Amino acid sequence: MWFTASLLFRNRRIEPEVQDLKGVTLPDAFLSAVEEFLEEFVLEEYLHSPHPFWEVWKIRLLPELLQDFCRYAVARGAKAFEDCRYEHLLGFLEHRFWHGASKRRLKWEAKMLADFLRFLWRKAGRVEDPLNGEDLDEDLEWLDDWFEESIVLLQANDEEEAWQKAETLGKQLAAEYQREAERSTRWEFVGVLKVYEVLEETLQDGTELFARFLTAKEARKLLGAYQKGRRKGEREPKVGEG
Amino acid sequence: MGRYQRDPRTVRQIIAEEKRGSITRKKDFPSELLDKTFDEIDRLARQGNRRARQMRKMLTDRRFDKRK
Repeated sequence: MWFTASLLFRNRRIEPEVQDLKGVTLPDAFLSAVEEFLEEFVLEEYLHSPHPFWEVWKIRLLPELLQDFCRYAVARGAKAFEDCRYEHLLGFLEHRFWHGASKRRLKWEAKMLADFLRFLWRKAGRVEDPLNGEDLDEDLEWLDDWFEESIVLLQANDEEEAWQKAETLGKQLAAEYQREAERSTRWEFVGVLKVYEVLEETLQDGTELFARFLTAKEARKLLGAYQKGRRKGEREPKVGEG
Repeated sequence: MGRYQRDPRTVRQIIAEEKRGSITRKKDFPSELLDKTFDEIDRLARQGNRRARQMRKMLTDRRFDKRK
């Protein structure tokens, strides 16, 4: 008998990408850019909707945050303003997350850093928006561990045997991923989510390989992740509000 | 058949032009494959190279496409 099984894997970082951020020497041009940004934009932009700890932010934490972002970009190869990219912004936020910054705080910092990145691009004479086509809100979720669901095909005499084979395969795959992985990351097999019996004997158009039932809430969550990446002109499915 | 089959661009170019920055935030991102084309990745993936498979999965997952 044929079965499919849904396996869940986790990929997490075990050490930061940039080990000694404070040890990165920042070129003077970046230091001046931070000062200029603070004077010209931040005061005007944020003074009317200040952070609760605005004064502390303005004087001490904000310059440090912007400088650390520049240090991160420099450590990742940026030599000039135009080399700073959105992925540096995400990388730096992940660095902050790794060091314990809360997601709520990161959300606020992300907006500030996005403005700073736009400022750097304008200074470099780039007219595009570095955040064009990106989704900063969703991307904050990718700073955490990554999970991967994998559906595999198994041959077994019954469902119990299929579960056992799925467990064994999951552990084996995680070990294989880990063997070739970056040293700073870990792969883990989280577990078997579901085993499904394939009723057809042969593969053909329309053979059902896997199915599961979802509540409206679960379906909306899945759609939220995938509907934005749909093909152009593809109809958006409707899921009832609950 | 992958959506980037016969695309002459390197993975680095495809990511820069069409993918969101979050794709590079995968903890175990196979950055050593950035200068290969999709066809090369596809070939390696079919030969059983796990990291090429990871890269292929990320490139073909529309979740990481830039928002229109």
